[in-house]
Amino acid sequence: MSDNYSVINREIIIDAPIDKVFLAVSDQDQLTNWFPDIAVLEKWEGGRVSFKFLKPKKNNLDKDHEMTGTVIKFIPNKELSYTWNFQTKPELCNAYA
Amino acid sequence: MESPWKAISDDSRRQILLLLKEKDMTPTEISKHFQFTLPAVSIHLRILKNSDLILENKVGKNRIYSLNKAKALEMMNFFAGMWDYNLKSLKEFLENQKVGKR
Repeated sequence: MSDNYSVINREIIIDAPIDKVFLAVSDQDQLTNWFPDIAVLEKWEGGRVSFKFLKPKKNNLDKDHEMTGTVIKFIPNKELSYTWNFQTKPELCNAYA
Repeated sequence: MESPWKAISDDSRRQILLLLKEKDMTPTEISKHFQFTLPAVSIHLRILKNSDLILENKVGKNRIYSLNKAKALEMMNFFAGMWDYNLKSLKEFLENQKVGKR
């Protein structure tokens, strides 16, 4: 997968049991506690992923941000990977334009 | 020096960066991938060069452009920082769960 992409690597140490951590990153009801506002994540390979990030609408440039993806690997308490396709573009660049 | 963020706000310039990611190219080669003219390509290349996103090499009469990987990486680190923020939220969520029941 990473052959055609530059890679961002991140490592984090969390003081919690592994099953709790895995649940937090893989369960659609738990994901919304720390990441997207609305989450769908089907817990099998080939499953559907969809995250929505709601933005407070201060002006008409503020749009909700949405991604969809497909689960590539789902190994409980061990590994989770999924593709990430932006359905909307983050407007980060406006801050610099 | 121009802002690299401004430079990549243009669709065509992002396309040019993706082309140069694959291989170094002359303006003529780049223009073959687009509808627009060589002078238009030159303007895009100048903006990319001024923001340090691409490097220019003169070989004889030709100018050959390549992606400045160091600069691209610097910009990517900005987004990596965004992930740090999200991962911190994950850590806080999990570690705060232990203390007291929610």
